[in-house]
Amino acid sequence: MTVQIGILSAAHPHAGAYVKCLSNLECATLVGVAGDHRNRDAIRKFAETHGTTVYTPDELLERVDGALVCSANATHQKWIECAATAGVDVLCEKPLAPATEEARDVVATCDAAGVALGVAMPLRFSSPVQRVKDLVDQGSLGTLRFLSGANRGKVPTGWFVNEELAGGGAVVDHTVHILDIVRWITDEEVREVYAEIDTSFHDSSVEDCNLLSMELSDGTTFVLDGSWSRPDEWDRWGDATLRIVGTAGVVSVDCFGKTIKQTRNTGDSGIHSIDYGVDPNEALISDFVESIRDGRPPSKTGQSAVHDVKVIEAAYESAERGESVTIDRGT
Amino acid sequence: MQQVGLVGSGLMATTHAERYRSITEAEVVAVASLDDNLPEFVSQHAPKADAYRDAETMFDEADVSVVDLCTPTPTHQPLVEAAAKRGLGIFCEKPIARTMDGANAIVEAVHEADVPFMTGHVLRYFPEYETAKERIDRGEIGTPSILRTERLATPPTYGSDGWFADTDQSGGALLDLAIHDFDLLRWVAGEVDHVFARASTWNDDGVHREHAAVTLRFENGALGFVEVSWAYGDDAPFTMTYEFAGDEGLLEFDSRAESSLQLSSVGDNLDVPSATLQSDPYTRELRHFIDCAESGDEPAITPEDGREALRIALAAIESSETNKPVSVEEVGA
Repeated sequence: MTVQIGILSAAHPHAGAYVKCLSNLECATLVGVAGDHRNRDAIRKFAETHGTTVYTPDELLERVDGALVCSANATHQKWIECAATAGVDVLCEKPLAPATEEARDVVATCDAAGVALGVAMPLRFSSPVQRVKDLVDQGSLGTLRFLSGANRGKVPTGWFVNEELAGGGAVVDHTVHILDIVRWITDEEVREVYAEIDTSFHDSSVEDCNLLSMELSDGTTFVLDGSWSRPDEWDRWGDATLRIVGTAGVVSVDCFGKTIKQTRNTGDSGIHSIDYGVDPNEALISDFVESIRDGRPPSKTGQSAVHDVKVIEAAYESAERGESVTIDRGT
Repeated sequence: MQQVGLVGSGLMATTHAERYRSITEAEVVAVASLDDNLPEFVSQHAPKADAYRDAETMFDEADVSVVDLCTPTPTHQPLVEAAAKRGLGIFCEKPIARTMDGANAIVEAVHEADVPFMTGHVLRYFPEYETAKERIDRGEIGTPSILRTERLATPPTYGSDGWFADTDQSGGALLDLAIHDFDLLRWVAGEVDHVFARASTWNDDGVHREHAAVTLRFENGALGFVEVSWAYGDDAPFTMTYEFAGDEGLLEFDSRAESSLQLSSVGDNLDVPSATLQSDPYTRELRHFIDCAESGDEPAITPEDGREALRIALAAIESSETNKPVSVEEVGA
């Protein structure tokens, strides 16, 4: 029995990658895609490009066990509610919601409907990250004293830079990936945030500079650069790195450190950085599919993601007030 | 010809003594140190120099025209004042002083005595950094937006009486190590408005370990991010990196990626030839100072530059202790 999956909205660039991931999974089938009725052309074009079928949302939800929500942040809630009403498990793109209240609402909605809610955190499935988690779990680094992460990117286009649709810029887009793996590895929350936020790289109504200086619930320092600071001509989309300083050693992780340098004169010409090895997106989708099949929660739950959204909000508040902001424990 | 009176006989004194050999207009004629290694130091690194147990005696009795202070930070102020009073030119290792009062006293003393004075912010003479500044000045990254640096090391266990581990003396990594980057970033992007710092420090069997990160907001709106470490193990090479990102481009450097010469030795006989000291950053900074002592020109790194770098570092230390952003201008006000 294969798990039937549908994709709700293809506004997020990962939607295409997820189609490919599903085609590589024996235990899953992509039934089709559904989009917003106001943007039929976009979803039709997506379906054509990726060789899949367009349904109305209701039609699709009748046919699937699980749904991947790949819409702009502002409509995550709407799509999750649709899926929950139809009794369909959800994996939602990050961040779960642009505001804490909304995040709490969708968690409650899914709880009430008895459906699972997961959030797409592919870095948990990156093999260097998993190896570092093992290292920390074994106590090999001693007591952790300092974590420093970086998740930079190029300035995106479309809804990502639309305040209404995204909820913000680089802070919304590039905080949660590293934040999540830090929480996962340390089992701590963020207690306090000081943020320096700005728009410097591009003419934009949303921020592209995102420097966060945080304290975890056990007093450990965690700093993060989640800026859209890579030039358009950079050889990669961005990066995801984490340095963990412990009393017994220091480890540096590059989630995308396995690369091949390719230079082409023709076709997609230029110099490219090609990733090889385990594709975290594939492992992410596989985890979601298996969670449905085996009746267990996905790795990253919506409940866990509420705190991530709190950190985003605290960052904006800190930048506005020019001082650090404390985050209450619990949800 | 400048007759150099070197104060100190530790790591930096050794570094400087060796560089003076390549500077024709300078000669180390005297060395003063409190350390027991003084005779050995002189015979190895300045065989023609006279040895003194007291710096001021050296200032009075040796035929020196300039002094070079390679001593623990808190000693800089009294030594500068003593040398300036005697009309001697002064090269002073970084940080200029441990406190703003000390820095202010130094600035006043050297201006009043009208002697050449230069703080050893040697990073400006490293071609890796110099080249980046040139290209930034030419507009190649556009408007600087986020300037990141890293300086990652094992804790210094050299240093007389373990003074680095005594943060009252050394200021810890946020002063002793990060000041290189604070001066560099100020050189590149101008004055800093405020900083926010977090530092984790711990005692590892008598060794002071530290890892810290500072966010900086420059007066021109740019952002900086400086990370320093005295937490690495002995197997880690000293590492420095930067990323200077602007709205039109990016400059990246990582000292670990430098691979111009790599040797593998089978047996014991292969020694890594050291880079020629002629164009070494320490030689270049000292040569600049000596040239200024000869010509009477003001060195490119002014006493105020030394003071302003210290101000940023002290702001960072204060921020790390108070958990609040600190306005740089208000430090020592």
